[in-house]
Amino acid sequence: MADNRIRVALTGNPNVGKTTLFNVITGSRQHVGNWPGVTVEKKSGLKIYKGYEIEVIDLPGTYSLTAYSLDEVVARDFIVDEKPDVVVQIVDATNIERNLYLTTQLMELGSKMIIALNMYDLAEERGDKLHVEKMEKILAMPVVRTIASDNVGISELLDTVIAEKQKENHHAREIGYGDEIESRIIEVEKVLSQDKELASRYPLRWLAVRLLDGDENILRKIAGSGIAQEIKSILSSLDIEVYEALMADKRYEIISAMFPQMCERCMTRMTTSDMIDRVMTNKYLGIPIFLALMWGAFELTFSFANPFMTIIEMIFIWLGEMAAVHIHPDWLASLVGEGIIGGVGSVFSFIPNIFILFFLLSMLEDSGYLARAAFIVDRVMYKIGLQGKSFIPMLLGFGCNVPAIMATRSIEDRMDRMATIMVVPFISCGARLPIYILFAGTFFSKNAGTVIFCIYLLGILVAVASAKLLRTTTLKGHPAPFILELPPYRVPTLKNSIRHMWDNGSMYIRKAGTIILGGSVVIWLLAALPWGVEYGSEVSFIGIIGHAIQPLLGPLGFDWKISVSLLFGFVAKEIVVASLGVLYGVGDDHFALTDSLLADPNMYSITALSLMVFSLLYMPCVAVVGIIKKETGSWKWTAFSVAYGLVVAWLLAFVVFQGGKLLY
Amino acid sequence: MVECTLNDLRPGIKARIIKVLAKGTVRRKLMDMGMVPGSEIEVVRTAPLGDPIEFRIKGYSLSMRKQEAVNIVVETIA
Amino acid sequence: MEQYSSRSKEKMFFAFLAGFLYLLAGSIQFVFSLSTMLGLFPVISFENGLIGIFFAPSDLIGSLILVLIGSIFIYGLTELRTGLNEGIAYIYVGILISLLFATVYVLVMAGNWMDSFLLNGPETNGWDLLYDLRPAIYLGILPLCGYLIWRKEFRAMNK
Repeated sequence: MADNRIRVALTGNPNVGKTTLFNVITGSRQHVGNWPGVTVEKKSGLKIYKGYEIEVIDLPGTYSLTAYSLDEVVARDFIVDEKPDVVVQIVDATNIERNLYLTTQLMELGSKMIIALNMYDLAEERGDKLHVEKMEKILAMPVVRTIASDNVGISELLDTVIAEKQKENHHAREIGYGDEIESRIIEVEKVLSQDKELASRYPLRWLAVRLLDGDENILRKIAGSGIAQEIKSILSSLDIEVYEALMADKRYEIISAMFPQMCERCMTRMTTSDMIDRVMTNKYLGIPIFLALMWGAFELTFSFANPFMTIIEMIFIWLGEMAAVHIHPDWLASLVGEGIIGGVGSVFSFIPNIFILFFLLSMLEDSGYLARAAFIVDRVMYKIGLQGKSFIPMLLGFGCNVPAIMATRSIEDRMDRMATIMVVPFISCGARLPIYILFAGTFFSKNAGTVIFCIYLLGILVAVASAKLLRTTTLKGHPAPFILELPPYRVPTLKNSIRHMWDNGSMYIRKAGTIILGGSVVIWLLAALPWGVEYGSEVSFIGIIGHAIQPLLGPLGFDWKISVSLLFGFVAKEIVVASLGVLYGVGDDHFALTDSLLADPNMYSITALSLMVFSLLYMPCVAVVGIIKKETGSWKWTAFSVAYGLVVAWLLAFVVFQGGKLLY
Repeated sequence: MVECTLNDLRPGIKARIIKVLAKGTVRRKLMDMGMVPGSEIEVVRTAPLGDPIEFRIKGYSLSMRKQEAVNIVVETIA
Repeated sequence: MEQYSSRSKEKMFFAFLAGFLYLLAGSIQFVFSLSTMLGLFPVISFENGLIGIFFAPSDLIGSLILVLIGSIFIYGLTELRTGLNEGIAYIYVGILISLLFATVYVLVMAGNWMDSFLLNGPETNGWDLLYDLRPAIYLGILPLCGYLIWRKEFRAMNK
């Protein structure tokens, strides 16, 4: 490796500003991928600084490295296997004591370490006195003060990284565990050192400590080695649970001995954060405030986004017209104008919704309120067989089910996670909104907002009922413990929220660009073939398929056009609207589609309602099915999710349509 | 000094942890979050719906359900 | 926290005024929108009568939010009355949330304005700025004043 390349791993507890620091250092030069073999997101970025190429890897935020969760395994495997040049731990200056627990574990990994003492301004404002030099001496590693959100201390941090890289040796302080445990550590270490390959790859003391700490992940790591048997016999002679507790105690003991020398904490008075929390989690006001905030976010996402949607729609209409005028022959113009531009255009017009939604979610998360939301709703979520943390993925589900299902990774318990994944598809994602906007707007113009709100509510109700059902059948049992940090309230930064919005929004665009474009072209082809038929007519392939499945959907009030578009909603729900546009021969002209729908004798408000209910529930789109497969690792669960959705959707739409007809 | 479990404490009461009865991953997670014997812990409030409970430990806020708090034996301090 | 006690009269008055106004506006809005939605009396279009200008004909949820904001202030008031300085927290959050919702409504208003402008030009579409004027917007002036006056004090609580 060239001398001017430095690999830096960023690590730290959750909520310490790690992502902000990562963004500040790397700017736009980031790469988002997955860690090999697992579904944990891997973010890395590049920074050119003083002639050095600094590669920054953002490790998952963890409280410890004891392999309690996948995140922890990923983080520590990277450090021990990939051996980054420098490990930077971001420490929340207002919460040094608990952050040091991770530090004590990182120190054992044998890498060069730097502490970035982040948000030190908040600690000082609070009246804490931080003794940075003392801290450096005690921990035997450089400590740099930073305020990531204000870009303070970043160049000092990078300078320290370079200096650290050039140091020949790094003598990290080791934690002493007391005579009894130490003698065991030496014993295990001695056995381990017989395996030369192991000794060259891992710090042996760390391996020994982890083994005595009952770490099964490490046990598996050494399973192939010749000394595995010997190690196992040593371990089996010990009461590992006692050791585990003793070692944690020892770490905290050391921390509580170090901590007072590093930081003089003033008498803890009520901080602004505490004051806000008093109100936000108030016995009577907490829940109304929670509902109001969610509604406000909703209102912004859907009302404020309107004009931006209009702009995008206008651009695509213009593009479509250009295609019609300038492209020859006519069939190609139709393919480009109606199939491609029309399809993609109606997808793109919902980007404002999705961008705003992710922006607001990021604001909620960064402000610290999202954790309170979990705290507030946990009781309810627990009652339905989920937990407070399931709330966050479900909320994300309103934007797009794909990131929502990915967000279930924060749920450690597999059963809880599975249950959440299964119910998320019932949460109405942004892609389903076009369907509601079209039909509610067309048939319930005055009360469109209320109708849409009710549809969203129905989605939540079905999700709740399904969770309850799953918990009493296939996923029997109670949700896992709820041990969650409630981070202090902070003013969210615009930069972070925009970044978050962009990352997630662009993911949606990529999805739109590939799957949905493909879907649009397929629709166009099916509507245009066999050669010579009138476009989208009953004798085209699309019409034939529609007629074939129509008897199944007839009891729900759907004609063949609706049946066809629902079929293509499998590709992505937003295609329902696009394909209706194609089927009614109006392309992506929203107003013409509205007029055509109103003129259609088969369409009443009841049909529209039934259709909205059906599209809400009937099946996750292809991308979601893909992610469910990936996250559950099981085709059986994936198939179950699809089939279950179809049945529920059919039943409820049936009730709505037939019930509505009786009342009408 | 009264010995009891965490869920029995009312908001505003401070206590010191004596023993963590939980087992397995829960125990480990509790330890990672600073719930070790000797730590001081204060009950801040219960959630609007009565559960979970918010605690203050080692200078930060942590929430836990009552059923988990049952497993933590504490003694109250003044 | 001693300094706050001496000035709590000011805040009590503020909390009372804000709480009263928000609750009042919320109640009117609630009755107005509910009866409109249920069709109890013919919809008053916004050209006729002040009530149509200052309140929205079918924003039921909006009315509940006004009531909520009012309740936060009044709750804070009762806490202040019992001598609890923590009551200030309620005023602080009340201000925060009322400003938040004022922003939400202003943004929605701006969105609608842009929408009508893009589609047909502002005159022809029949949309009027007054149509989107919600109580949360003009009442927001009061908490805004409160915020500007006590801004430093709220910040000081950090310390």
